[in-house]
Amino acid sequence: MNVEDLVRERLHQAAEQIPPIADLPASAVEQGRRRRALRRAAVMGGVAMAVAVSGGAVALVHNGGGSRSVIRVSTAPPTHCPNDGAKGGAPWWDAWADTRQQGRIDSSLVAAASRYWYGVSKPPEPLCVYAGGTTPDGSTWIMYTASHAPHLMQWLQGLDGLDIDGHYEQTAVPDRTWSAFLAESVAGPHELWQEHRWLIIVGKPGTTQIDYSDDGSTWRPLQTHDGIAVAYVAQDRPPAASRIRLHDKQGVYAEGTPPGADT
Amino acid sequence: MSDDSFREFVVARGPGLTRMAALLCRDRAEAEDLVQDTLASAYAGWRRIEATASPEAYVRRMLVNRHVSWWRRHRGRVESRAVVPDVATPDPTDGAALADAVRGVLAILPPKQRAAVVLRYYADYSDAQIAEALGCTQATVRSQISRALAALREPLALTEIGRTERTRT
Repeated sequence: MNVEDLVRERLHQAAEQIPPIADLPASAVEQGRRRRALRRAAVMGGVAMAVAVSGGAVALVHNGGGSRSVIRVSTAPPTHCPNDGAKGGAPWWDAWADTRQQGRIDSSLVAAASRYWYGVSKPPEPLCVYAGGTTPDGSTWIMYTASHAPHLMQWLQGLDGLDIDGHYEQTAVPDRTWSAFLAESVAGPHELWQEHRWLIIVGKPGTTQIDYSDDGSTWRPLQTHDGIAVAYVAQDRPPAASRIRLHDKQGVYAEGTPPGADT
Repeated sequence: MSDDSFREFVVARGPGLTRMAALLCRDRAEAEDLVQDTLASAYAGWRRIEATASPEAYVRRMLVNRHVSWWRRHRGRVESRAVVPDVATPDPTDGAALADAVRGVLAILPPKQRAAVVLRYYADYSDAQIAEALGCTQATVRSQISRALAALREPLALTEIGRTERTRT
């Protein structure tokens, strides 16, 4: 028997002996409900920037309409931004005026996002990426809309270009002024619900400072760059009393509950 | 969201996913974590997964991606064995022992090679599908599998000899 046949036979023989996991359907539903609840709780707020994604190398360019910057990412899907070219999308789109980026934006993750809903059997879906970056422990994230559902703002987390299933979506409405996402830590043990999290917050254009409070009264200013801040959450979700507060030049313009805190 | 359709999927496909995870992972506990974690994610996105041409293929891909992500995260701590372990000759009448022996042999491979071998020879993935799942080129897939086969040839042959000898007696 050649080695390939031997490997094939042995793998199938071994697999046949693997016993099933007891109560797998019930436990999968229970864990899934918990995860879904966490994602649904993710708070969506305003929108920020115009990082449009299209073909080409990573670079900042200006379109003909003014000072809007776009990031062009290699191997990425075609651009589909309501405010890219013709105006007249939802009002909040026009508020995006500056690039929002904290750390690198992973073009492979963008490409993965373009296939998130449809797998590899169809062409990449056009996306419009509004913000992106890298968490302190090295995973990457993007905030975007997809052409199949431009009314849904989505977030996706990845590692080394792979989508690692940190994803959520929420209806984007004109009056939202900030958005937040609870990113899974990639540095700790992989028992999902015992890990810490990174709370990523993106404020509207003009956001100067973002604060976080565990108890709703003692505020911790977060290092805020380009309207984006990242808070460390030492457990699998923010405490129930936790709050987010956002400032612009006029002072506090929004306060809200971080994703996961009310579940 | 239909819990019923998801439950039906897990009842029908859960054992197969568990078998695949058991081949990919170092031990049963890790395999169970991988399956549970993957299915929890699948539940959260079940509406869209259910609408795909092959929900099973989609969830399998999630499982493989997750496995690869895990070992990437822990690559500093998860060392492949540098030497071929003693391979216990499995008793052909003891299926569990045979499974343990095969998994012991697979454990000599680095995680990515092991994943490539499992996807090729257990899941019957093409080079392109493996490359997609592992995030590498098809050439890399072929070289990884080639190296893996070279490493597996001797220890797997030992299990084959042992099996034959015991069958004769």
